[in-house]
Amino acid sequence: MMPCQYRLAIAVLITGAIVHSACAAEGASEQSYFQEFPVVLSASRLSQPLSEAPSAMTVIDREMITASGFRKIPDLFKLVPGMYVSYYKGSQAIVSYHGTSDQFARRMQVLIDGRSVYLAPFSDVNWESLPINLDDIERIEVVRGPSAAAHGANSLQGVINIITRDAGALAGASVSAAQGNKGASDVSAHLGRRGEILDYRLTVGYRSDNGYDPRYDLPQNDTLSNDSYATRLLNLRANYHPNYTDNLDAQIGASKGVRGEGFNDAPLNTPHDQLAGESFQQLTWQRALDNQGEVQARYYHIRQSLDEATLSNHPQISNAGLNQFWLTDSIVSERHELELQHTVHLGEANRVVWGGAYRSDFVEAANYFLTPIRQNEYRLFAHDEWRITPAWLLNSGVMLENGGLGRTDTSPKIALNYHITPAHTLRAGISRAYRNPAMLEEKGDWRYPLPQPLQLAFGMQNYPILKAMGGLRPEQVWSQEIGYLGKLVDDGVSIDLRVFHDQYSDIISSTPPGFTNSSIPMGQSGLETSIEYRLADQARVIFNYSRNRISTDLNGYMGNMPEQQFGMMYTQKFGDYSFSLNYYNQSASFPADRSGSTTTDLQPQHQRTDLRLAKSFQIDRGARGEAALVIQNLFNTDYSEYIATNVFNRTSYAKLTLNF
Amino acid sequence: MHFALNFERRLIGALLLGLLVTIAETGWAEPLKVLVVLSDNTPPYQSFADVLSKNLPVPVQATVLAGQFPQDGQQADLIVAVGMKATELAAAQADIPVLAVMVPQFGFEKLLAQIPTRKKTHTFSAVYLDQPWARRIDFLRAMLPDLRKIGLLYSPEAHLDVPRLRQVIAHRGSSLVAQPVESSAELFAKLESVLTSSDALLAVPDGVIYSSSTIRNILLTSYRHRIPLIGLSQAYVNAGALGAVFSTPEQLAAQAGAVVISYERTGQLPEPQFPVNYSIALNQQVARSLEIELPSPEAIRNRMDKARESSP
Repeated sequence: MMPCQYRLAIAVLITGAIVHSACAAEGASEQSYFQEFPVVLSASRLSQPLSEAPSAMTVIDREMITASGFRKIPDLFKLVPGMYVSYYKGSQAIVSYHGTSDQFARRMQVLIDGRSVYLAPFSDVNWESLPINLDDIERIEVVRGPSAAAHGANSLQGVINIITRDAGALAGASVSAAQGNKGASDVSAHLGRRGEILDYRLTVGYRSDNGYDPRYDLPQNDTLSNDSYATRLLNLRANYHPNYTDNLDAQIGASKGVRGEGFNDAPLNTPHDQLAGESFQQLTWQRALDNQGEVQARYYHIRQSLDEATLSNHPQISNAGLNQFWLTDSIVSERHELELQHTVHLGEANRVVWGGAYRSDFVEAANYFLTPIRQNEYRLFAHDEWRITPAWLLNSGVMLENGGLGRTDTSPKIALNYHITPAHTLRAGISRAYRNPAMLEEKGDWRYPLPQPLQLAFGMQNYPILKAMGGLRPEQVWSQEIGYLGKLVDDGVSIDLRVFHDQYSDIISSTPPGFTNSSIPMGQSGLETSIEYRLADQARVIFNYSRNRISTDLNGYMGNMPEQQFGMMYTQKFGDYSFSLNYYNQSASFPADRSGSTTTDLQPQHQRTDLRLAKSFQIDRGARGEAALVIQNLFNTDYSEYIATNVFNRTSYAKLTLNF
Repeated sequence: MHFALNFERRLIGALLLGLLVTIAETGWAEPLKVLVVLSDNTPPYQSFADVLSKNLPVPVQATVLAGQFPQDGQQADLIVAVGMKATELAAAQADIPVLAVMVPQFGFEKLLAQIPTRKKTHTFSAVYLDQPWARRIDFLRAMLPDLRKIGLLYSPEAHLDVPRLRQVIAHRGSSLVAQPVESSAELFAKLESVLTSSDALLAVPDGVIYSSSTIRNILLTSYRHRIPLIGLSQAYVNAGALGAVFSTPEQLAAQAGAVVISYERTGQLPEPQFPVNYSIALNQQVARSLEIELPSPEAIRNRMDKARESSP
């Protein structure tokens, strides 16, 4: 084609007539000013600033995820003040805000892009099965305190809200491999494309290690925990945005893993493998409305399975003339949920988010329930954010929930934020929340069928573990808090301070053979603070401190949460080099379900220091790489997680990442 | 060649709308005939035409152009060409004075350079669509007083005078972090690099960088870095930019109306000029989420006025 200036000149000279010129579109035209755009940063996409949130909140961003040097997602929550993170097994994490957890952390909601992965029948999160990779996470928002109105049922103590990277976050490919001692071996590959109306990204990954170190100085010196794991995973996220108002986000993912289970000294749970699988599909449609409003519909389905066979050698077996026998176990858990949500602005100062959801949980687990169980839940929610004046902000919300037990519960929340100045905010809030009984607690009939010879020896057909009596009420908490958020020294220093008192009632506690609502109340109060100091663009220090006291006569709960926790993260960049140092210190605690019988599992006060060093480099135009070395528990302090045999000695790994 | 021209004519016939304005004033023997040529019939052009006709002292007679200027159009005393397409066409009407409006300065000057006769006879002038750089930077500084480093992405297509812009910015106590983008393939790598070393990203009229297909990931990426985007229009702000300073078609029409009336009195077109009146759009939702305390639009306007008075 002829350059446009000539075409125009010829047109003027020869014809003197009307000539259309395509060159108008090339830089010199007015189109840039009259272009229409889609609403990209819509209400649901924008995160609430900490100073306006109705609850205390900790945000773990990508920089912190990288700087932590952690390989496992649950470990990241060690960066949250007041969070108890431990491991029953190398592949079985316990993440519980304010502790009060046994092997299954039941009092905290966990969402991944709005999808609740807090699943039946145990009401816990199977962290190792999650089909996402650490690198897929954009940021994590941890709501410290009940938040049912905004995050749904079972947000009793708090909410973990994992936000994965957008479908268009990556254009190109990246591969990474990490190798370390104790069998640490992680490999992942990411591929992403950005298009005019379709963005997508794909992750395939593998992660494995040999779990904790054994311990040889205990009386029962063969209490080796069999806890290695290897998980393969895949996830795909696509975003289709065909026009200026609609946005369709589709996600699918699956994982398959093999995990070590059992203990040397547990005759009915000898070392064996467990096969774990999880898959999900999720579809979210958003439409931007006038005046910054939005409607959103989200559907998801999760299927989780656990299969294992234990070769048992109970002492009574030999009496019965058997050497050993197989115990098999299989659990399938599925969830479907549909949620509709509408955001509407009632004037400049008032925003309402309201909606409803239907959820159906299905569990088939022959050793735990005589028949498959389906449980349906409905909920309605509304949340209002009202800027009374520029200084006063009132957040109020409520959730009505029918959790399938034939009752409707109301979870209200109200919080008032006062900006003393734009840099200093006070917050006071009160809320009530419920935890519905886990399917196992309400309906469980956990027993293992015995082979014929053993039925005689034991005098029973099934070996019973527990039998629920039904009739449970949800656990209830009233939570009160006062918070302060401040920014000092030209916004270089941020302070988050919170004092709280939580009063629990109807705690579901073990009353053999099943569970009952305890009449013993439990109170928990304490203080949490997080101070962040950005020294310059390239350096950042974060201090976390929490003090927590539980007062109750309820068996197993006293001393369950470390009274004090202290953490520090220091990160610094020097050109292509980056350095980070992480320190964790927590006082002694007793695992809730292991304090009665023995003092062996007391977790004494312990500390740990992790170090990460990395160098990024340019390979050629467009291709970059990073090499990193991480040493965890640098000073090899003697410490164990949850069970005395989960010894965490110094460990290190090297990781190479290439982006092209 | 002939066929192509014919085709283009028909295309234009479909796109163009015309508006004939006759100004009758007692002092003139003949009323001033003004032809308004619109590049398009979309809302900004229509709004311009509506407001212009209201700003002129006589009723307006609208004419739709079909293929070429109508007979009475050829006898117009002044053509108000709205948009670049209309301006290029009007420039070809050899003898009639042309006031171009809603055209970027660069596009107008480029066109003017190609028609030296027009330059000589002072029969070709403009009210630009774009804001002067000083105003955009004053706006940025008024909105974000602590702003130190202003990030900028530009392709060769933007024809951006980077040294001049750097000077304007330095004059106001900030510095410019500019990254040239040679091809759309390297857009996001360059974006990441600019975002890591600046406090705000300033959009420029550049179809290679800011298009409806790229805006989504530009906004998401800059939001991820917690860096605000400063847009060019209300549409940018609706999409998620923190703010924009721009002139509406209505504001431009009022200014164009004044130029037409002055032409009617003096028989001369003034020098090309930037918009006098402007609007400010802010996205409070985005500001809050980024924890940016925005002044009110009035306060921003006051600060901009002060900055303009104190600058040389």
